[in-house]
Amino acid sequence: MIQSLCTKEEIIRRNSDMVYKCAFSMLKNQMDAEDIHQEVFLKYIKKEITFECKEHEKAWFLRVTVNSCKNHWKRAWNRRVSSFSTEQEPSYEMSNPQENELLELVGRLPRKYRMVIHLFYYEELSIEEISKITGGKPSTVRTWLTRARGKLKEMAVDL
Amino acid sequence: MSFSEEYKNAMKTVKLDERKVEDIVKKIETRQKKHTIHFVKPVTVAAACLLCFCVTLPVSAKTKGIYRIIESISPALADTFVPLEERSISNGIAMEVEAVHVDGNQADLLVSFSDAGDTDYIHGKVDTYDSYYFKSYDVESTIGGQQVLDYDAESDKAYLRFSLQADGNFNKDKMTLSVKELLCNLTKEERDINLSGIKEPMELKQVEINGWGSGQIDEIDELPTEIPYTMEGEMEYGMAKFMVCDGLTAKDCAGNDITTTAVAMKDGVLRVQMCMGDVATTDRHVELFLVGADGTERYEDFSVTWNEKIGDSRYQFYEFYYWNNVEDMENARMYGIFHDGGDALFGDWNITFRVE
Repeated sequence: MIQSLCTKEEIIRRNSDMVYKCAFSMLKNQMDAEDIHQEVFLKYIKKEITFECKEHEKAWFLRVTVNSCKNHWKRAWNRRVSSFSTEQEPSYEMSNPQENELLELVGRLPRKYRMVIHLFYYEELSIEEISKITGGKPSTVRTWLTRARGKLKEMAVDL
Repeated sequence: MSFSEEYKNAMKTVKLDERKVEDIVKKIETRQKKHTIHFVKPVTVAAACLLCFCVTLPVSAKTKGIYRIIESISPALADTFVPLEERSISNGIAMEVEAVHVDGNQADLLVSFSDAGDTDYIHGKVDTYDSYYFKSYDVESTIGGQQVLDYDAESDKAYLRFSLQADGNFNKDKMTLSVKELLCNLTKEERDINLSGIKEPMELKQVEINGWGSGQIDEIDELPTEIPYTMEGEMEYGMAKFMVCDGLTAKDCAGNDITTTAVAMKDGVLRVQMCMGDVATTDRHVELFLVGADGTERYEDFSVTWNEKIGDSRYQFYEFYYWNNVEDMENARMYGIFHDGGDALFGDWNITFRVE
């Protein structure tokens, strides 16, 4: 039992940052990202899942995070709340103003574009891996990435 | 510094409070001791007190009011209290789960619709017109599709099949199927489309489309240059602009039938444009077939759709494109299978069942 406790704890600590950053990049909001972070790990704890390898583990957590964010957008009570306010501005402070500006620019992209930018550039996933996580066809993911880059270039981001 | 390096540096400063991680880790121990995990924010303490009072009440459709209150405070908590209801009646029609088949992470659901009481709406096939929605309580994500089966005169029921696919294996998972609209008494008939009046040249007009069919290509980027378009943003948010035939407009078309509004050949592309009539509350669509001189039938290579509004009515247009093997149009013909969704009925059907 102690062995199983350590393993689960290790897995949670190992993936916590990745899940939080992915949720934050999609929701642009610290509070919502914290909710999703908790939701993802509660599901993991309840599921009693065993991972075949590190890649399987990473893909599982990212997929559940992406799906949880999508469900978050769809929830009816969330839509009632959002009708009174627009998507919240990113709530973080950067020591480097340039980094802050970059995240704000990425934050202006549509949701799916933000998602693929994060998974491609931060998690360094391939198009195929992003396709499995998001459920989009590889050609669709490629198109999203191309359009995201195009939009960032329009915003004078050096790609 | 590259964008990738800059983005990574920027994201490194986005950090979660370590205390949140410790809270999660503590829940492992709680679960190991076989206590149920409750994530209770301070604001949900009042909801928990309310629940202690409510669990003694009989579970029925009348508890939906309590469910809505809890859901507005804590959706995760509310998910555990939804009662099982395998039959739902709304607007004089009953929706019922007839059978469930499970195979790993896939499940098939047979659902029936029948008249409840002294109504007489159902006497043919029905369609939920994409108004159905699945909510799962246990699996991370589920995708589903609907298939219209048939109407059985003996039982006076119309049957649909829903196929579900989940992230993980189903294990007596609880699920809710919601339906908001029902098209009753679907019909279809075959009609010819007159190709003798092909116009060349044909004036074009620009429209903002709200959808496209894949036809024989997978991505809009594969369209031939003879079909120019412009894209603004992501499809689901922005619109694409296409040049379509400047044919009949909505005011020239029947509201309850399908009208051919233009047939043209431009830049080697055959364009057939049709108006589906007012589809604000029902569905009308066409399966179009071009029959070549050698008798070969084929679907369109691509299609786009857009709407024209007249008051509260929404007239839907389709333009079908053919660019392969259209050289010998003199000996070709075209026909379509015209589908009509019939009468639309609105309701609030909800069934909650276990996938087992």
